[in-house]
Amino acid sequence: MFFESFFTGQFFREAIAKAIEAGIPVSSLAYLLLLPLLTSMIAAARHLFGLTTYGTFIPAIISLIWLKLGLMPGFFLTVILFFWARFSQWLIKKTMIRRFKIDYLPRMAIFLLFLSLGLLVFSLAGYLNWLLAEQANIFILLVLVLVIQNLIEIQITLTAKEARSLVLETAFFALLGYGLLGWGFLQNFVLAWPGLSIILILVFNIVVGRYVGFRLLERYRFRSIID
Amino acid sequence: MAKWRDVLNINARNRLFLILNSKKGRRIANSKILTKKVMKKAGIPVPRLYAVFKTREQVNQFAWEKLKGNFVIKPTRGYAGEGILMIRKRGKWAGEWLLMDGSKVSTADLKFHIGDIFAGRYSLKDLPDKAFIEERIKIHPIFKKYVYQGTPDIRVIVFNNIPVMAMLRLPTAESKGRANLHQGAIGAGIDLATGITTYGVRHNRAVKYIPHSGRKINGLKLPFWDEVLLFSVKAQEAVPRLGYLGIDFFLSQEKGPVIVELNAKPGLSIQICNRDGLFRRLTRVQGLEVRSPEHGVRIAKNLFAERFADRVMAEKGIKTLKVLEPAKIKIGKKKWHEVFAKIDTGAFRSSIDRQLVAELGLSVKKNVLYSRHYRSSMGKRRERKIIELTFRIGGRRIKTAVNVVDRSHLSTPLLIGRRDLAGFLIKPEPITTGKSEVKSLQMEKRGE
Repeated sequence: MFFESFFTGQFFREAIAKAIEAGIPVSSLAYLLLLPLLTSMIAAARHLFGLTTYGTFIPAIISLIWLKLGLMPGFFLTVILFFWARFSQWLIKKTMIRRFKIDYLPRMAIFLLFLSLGLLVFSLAGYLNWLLAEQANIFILLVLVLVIQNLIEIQITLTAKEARSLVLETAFFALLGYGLLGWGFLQNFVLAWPGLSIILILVFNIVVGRYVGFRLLERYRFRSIID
Repeated sequence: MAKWRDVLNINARNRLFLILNSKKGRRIANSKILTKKVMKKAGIPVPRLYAVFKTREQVNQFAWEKLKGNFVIKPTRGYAGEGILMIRKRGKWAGEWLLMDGSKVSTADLKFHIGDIFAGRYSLKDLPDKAFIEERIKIHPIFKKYVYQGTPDIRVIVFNNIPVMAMLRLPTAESKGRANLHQGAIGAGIDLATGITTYGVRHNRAVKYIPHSGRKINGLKLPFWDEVLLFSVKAQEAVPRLGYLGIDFFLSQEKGPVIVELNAKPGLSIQICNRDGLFRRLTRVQGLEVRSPEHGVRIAKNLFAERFADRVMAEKGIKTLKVLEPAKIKIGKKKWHEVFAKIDTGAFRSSIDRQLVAELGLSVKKNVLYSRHYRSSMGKRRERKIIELTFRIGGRRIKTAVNVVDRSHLSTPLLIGRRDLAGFLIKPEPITTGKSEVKSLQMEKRGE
């Protein structure tokens, strides 16, 4: 009985109905199923097209934050915080390392302090208060700070070119994620056909994962040695 | 140049070759200290280790004043040359050190750097790391005009105990002295047979000259080349759990080649500066029986020699061969055996008569590169030996791998295939080539 309902998707449908009954927001349930879809897209971008894709975590989290804050406010907040982070990082490098010789992890903590200060300045400008009152709670903003700290930390080890591609790719996948997760049609689809969605995602990843041919960008990379 | 099917791509590398590297093997390659231990045990030269630090106390208790300069501080699990600090010599005062660019640092600065290493600043994902101090290998004088700063290294890829491809990596100003292609270092392909550089590549684009000095990148003959190949096979023998392995060497004028690092996931750009595909080379040597490190080196040299013939041709003019051409087979030091050879562009590899090989004493085990199975025209499974052979034809000396076959019923004991004919023109005369033609040519030659 259980297996039958499992494979027809009846099991998932019932689970979803119960969850909604218990008061879990419908969109949250949809995100649960759409997040693996986003990850599959990122995996395919790496495996078939050859984009670097620095992990799936950061773009996924950013798109969730944007969904919560709304695209325009979320996007601007992320961009401004990002540049503020770059500036603080430069400042810390100039002062903390050269002059005071602070060790690495304390240095990272100071960096985080700078980011929090940035948010505080923001709230003085009134923008943040409006945001907080309207859409979000403080936890989302704190998660955003952590994500940006993470992004900057990865950037340190990269060359300028790689750092640029990291930022662009992260922005691209975050936007893609925003589109996918927020798309009403997709949300309805995965909630109406949970079993089918799971199977489709599985099959898609198995097909992508078994591909051993050239990635699209490799065709460009190796073109000079082909006669 | 290569075809798409010859080129190794990332997906195929991960799926087909990286699975040959077990977790234990990767553990050795990922730790520079472990690598050093294993290599030393196998009798392979490595930079001398001065100290390993795991805790701050060890750093403070270390007798810094005993160091005479010429050392390097490294994280054990660093990647892409991050976190490496090179010290040239002592400064004027105690506790003062001079870096490669002449700037001064204090012992406290060195300790601070080690603290950063401990905190995981240079390891992936901020994991805590160990630091160590080792001897600095001075740059070999022949590279002086080739690098702006830093030390060039040689990367050899070894598979099945046979070196399959190699490159020289020359740091540039852009790469900040690091020999990492990603960061803008120049990669130069190396001919495995001679150790001469072939083509230069920077940022996936072909380059011919060193930016700051205008030196030509190709045509540099690397010293200690035979040792480099030999040590790379020995290194893989020492770590058999790394089936597909990249080995990084520094060349030292005093010590010869030393192994600085093993790489369990070597990159694929090496194909671009060698203008050849790794996949073809890897499948070529897969399953060959390698009897000793020397044997592995010999297979590599014979299979993957560059044909410089087209360049030689441009310099010396084109040489014409007739269908029947006198050739001399090398049978010892300064001893040659004269035969007539048939030129056959329909064959890939050259062949030699089995009986002649036995008569000349060339079938000793040392000479045999490998055996290969084939299906005869009668449908039977046969085995054919492939030996190393040197012969002279048309005024050129050719060292190559040839098939040993039964040619007793044919007019000539030696057949030369197109693999060894690059740079020659062929004149299809005489049109018939039976035993009588060979005989008349022989008489002509003797002046009868």
